[in-house]
Amino acid sequence: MTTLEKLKLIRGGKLSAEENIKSFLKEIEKNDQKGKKINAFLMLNPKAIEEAREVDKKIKNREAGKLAGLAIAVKSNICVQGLKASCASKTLEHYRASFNASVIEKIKEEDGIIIGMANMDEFACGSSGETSAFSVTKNPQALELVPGGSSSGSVAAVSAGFCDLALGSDTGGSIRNPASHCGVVGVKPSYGLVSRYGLIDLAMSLDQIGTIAGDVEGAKLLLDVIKGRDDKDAVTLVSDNNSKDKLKDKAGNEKGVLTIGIIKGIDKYCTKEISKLIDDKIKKLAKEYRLEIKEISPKIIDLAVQTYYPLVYVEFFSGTRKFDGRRFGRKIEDACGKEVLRRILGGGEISKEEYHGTYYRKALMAKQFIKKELEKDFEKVDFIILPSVPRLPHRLNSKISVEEMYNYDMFTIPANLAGICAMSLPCGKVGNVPVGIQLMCSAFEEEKMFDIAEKLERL
Amino acid sequence: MVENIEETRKEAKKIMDSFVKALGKIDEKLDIPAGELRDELVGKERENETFRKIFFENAPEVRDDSIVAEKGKWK
Repeated sequence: MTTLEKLKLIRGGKLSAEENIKSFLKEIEKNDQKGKKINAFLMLNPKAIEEAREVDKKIKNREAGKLAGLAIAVKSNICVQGLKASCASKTLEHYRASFNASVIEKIKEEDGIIIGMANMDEFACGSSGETSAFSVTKNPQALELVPGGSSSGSVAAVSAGFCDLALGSDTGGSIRNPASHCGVVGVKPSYGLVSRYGLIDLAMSLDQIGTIAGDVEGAKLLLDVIKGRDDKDAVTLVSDNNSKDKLKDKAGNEKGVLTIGIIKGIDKYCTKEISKLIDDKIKKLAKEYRLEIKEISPKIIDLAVQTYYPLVYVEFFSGTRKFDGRRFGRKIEDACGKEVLRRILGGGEISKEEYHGTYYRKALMAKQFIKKELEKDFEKVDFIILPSVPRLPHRLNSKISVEEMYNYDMFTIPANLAGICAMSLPCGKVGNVPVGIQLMCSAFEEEKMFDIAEKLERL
Repeated sequence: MVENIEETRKEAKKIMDSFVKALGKIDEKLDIPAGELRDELVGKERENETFRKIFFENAPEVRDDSIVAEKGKWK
């Protein structure tokens, strides 16, 4: 059943919000800590059923909002008043959010029900879900493999059938990477489309809250609710860019020939199996909708990882200075895991006065370079398609190097550096392991991106 | 807690050095536009009683209507 079909059932009184929530709680009870032991949730909302009953009353009175009765999992770095926002860290193990993030306010206004707080990589520092202080989340599609990260629990919850929709955060691929590995849809909105107020930051110049769903329309529905200007986050923008116009003319007819941008020599960066799956899908899309294909330079990928991490290290070091054990939680350096500590120590080191202009500033320049390259690309093509992740997820508890871990995000990072929108959606499988295809459009062209994604989904 | 802090620091620095080496060819004449400043909105939540209640519950040490930020060891 698609998200909109479910919504229609609930709004039509054929399925109550309470029944919907209870059926998910039953499945969670069966397979999250027991059974398959997915470990997607760190905390369930004790008031979820009560809230569902309230929504049912609204439905009867025809006052229910756009998300009426849908169950939504929330990554544990987004504040939901009264629930734990631990960031999957011992540092904030007992911290309960004292206010709602702006995105949560919007979801509640539209009668979505927060079903629980999802597991994640500690403070969003990871690409596999393994750095959580509260044990790794399993990939529901291949239990022996990692689900990807850092929004591991949010994505696994959708993939395992524990909720309808989920919120994650994406700083360098943290929604798209696990979405690819777990066979669901994950959206990283343009920087400034969604308020970050109430998001515990990893790197504030790159973070965006995004949506996860089993289908494109579900991810779009949730994004439509949470997007928009927020006075509490000054980088949220009011965009008058109606990208729908870029696909259709004034009469609403499909515009002439659209051009797909593909990265030249992408097969050198990823496995053959993934490359073939993506290539086949692009050819099918181009044939079905009579689209042109144009190659673009791989420059945006070549420097992505090396640009991203100095920025993240420094901004994360700066952002974590508030975790000094005084106002809440424990002192972060005393309680965190190795990857978090690596970023704090590395960020502190390279932001020293003696290294002025050497690391962070150079990375800022490279960020600007990648942004300009993508702007040039989007003058030649309407959208870009590439794999979401260059390789299949590794086995749980297997050792991979830090550099290998960082390279998981080489295809997703450019969208964050350039502030554009991007999403991952299922493309097929290699063996039993899902593989995601990534779509990128210019900043604030989400409507266009969803149009193309729906076409891809139908193939 | 991580045991070998100095080793972790060195490892992080080594990774950063290799990354910044790869960025060596970036044209340093690129203009970087100044970022937009963010309003901090200090005190906006003060009126919210639930906020205040949970905020104080989260604090390790509270005295009257204040959070104790320093333990005063210098006295």
